[in-house]
Amino acid sequence: MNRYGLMPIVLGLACVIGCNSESSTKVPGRSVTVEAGGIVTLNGKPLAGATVLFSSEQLNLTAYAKTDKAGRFQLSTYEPGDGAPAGHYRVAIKKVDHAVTSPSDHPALPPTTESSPLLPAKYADCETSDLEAVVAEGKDNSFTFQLFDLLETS
Amino acid sequence: MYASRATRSGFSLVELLILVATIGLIVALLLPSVQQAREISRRMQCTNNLKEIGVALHNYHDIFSALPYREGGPGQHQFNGGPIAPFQRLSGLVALLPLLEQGGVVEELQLSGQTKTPWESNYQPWKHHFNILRCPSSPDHYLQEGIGDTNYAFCAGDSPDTESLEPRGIFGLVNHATFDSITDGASLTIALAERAFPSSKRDKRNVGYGSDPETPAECAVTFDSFSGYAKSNPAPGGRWSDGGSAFSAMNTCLPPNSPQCAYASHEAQDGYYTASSEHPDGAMCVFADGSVRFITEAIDCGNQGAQAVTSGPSPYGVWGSMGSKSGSEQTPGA
Repeated sequence: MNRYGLMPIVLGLACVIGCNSESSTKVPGRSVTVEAGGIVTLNGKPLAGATVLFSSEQLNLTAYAKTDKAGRFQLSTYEPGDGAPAGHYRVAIKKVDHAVTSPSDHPALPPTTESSPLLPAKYADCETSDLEAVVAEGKDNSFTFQLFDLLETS
Repeated sequence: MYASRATRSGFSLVELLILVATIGLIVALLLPSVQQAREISRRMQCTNNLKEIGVALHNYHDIFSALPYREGGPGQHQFNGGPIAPFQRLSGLVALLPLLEQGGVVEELQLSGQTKTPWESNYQPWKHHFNILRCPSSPDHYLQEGIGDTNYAFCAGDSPDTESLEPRGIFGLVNHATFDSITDGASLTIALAERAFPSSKRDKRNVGYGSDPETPAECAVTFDSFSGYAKSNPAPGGRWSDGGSAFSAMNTCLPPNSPQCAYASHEAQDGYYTASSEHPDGAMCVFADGSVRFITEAIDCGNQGAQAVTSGPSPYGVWGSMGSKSGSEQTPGA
């Protein structure tokens, strides 16, 4: 009897016990998501730091993302970067600059702040933005949103 | 054959190596379960603390026929004759002290007349640290300003409107809630939840300043796992004495362990204040009936892109419905 014959079995068992805690299970009540993302441009140039909201009334959920320096975004629904469930979405894109205009003179008082939208107001609401997207399984869910701000002449 | 066996003494190198490897393997298998057992006992301690706070709330209601408010106080901090409310900022924990068996601190407060603001770090009563307000799983707050810490935050409901006289949840500003007003059911409405301390400037458990998000989804994108918040405030849990939202409120808009944002770049303003903990995958909550339950991060949070409502069912799923005290949501499984 080879006295080391049991070693591979022990090692194999250890691997099975050690690794099975990693397995992920589907969370009940959640739809299966597919990777989705894309790019946002303003007057042809990539738009950085904008919030992209994909909302679906039918699914009663909103997938969201923020664009990076190149205007690219990757949607999240339940977990960071998990994409969005397949479906038809209305899209809203927002970019707001938020600045403190005068500091507070007492610790209990908030400072005066001002929010100024950096995009035309119609893009901030999915009802008026006229931006739509269909996320589907087994398809390259990459969307391009070309926004135009006629006031921005420079 | 027999002679050659007789010359052997002790173990061979291979045998020793296998022995060491086997011991190493057993230790490697045991270590995670030992760590898990330690975390389970820390979590039990944490559960017990929440349970005692729940019992204290019930005793408070028995004595005063109302629950304490999250934020209020002796009203001595009116500034320039302005509205009273924002300057009454003591935490509801101050009101609960006698019921948490901290009579000594209560006497100290009475002797000094309670005239100090809750952010006065030189005021002796505020410097007390209470084990009952600390979850053993949570590491120390990275910023120590002298005032004792608390891991437990009052639930303001499923709305960013935390500095409200009529909050969606049980605890708000100055106004006392009663058990009568919890029409969703005391066993289905959160009273307090855990909020772990941020461990560094880039930690998600700080509060993000510099954006006034309209929806939870817009708050979620203010945090970047690489660079943190654009402007972070280490308020959560930093002062047990302070009823300001960033210190002692939580709401059930974003799922546990998500980012948090304060409106108007101020720590006693409305905002999204999220339950969080160091326990894996969720946070502990004490409900208004005194039961303590663990809520996972994967809880249904509804439409994160929806605006908060002032009446009716919560848009934020099961998690939102647990925060509101009278949203008349249909509760699954009840």
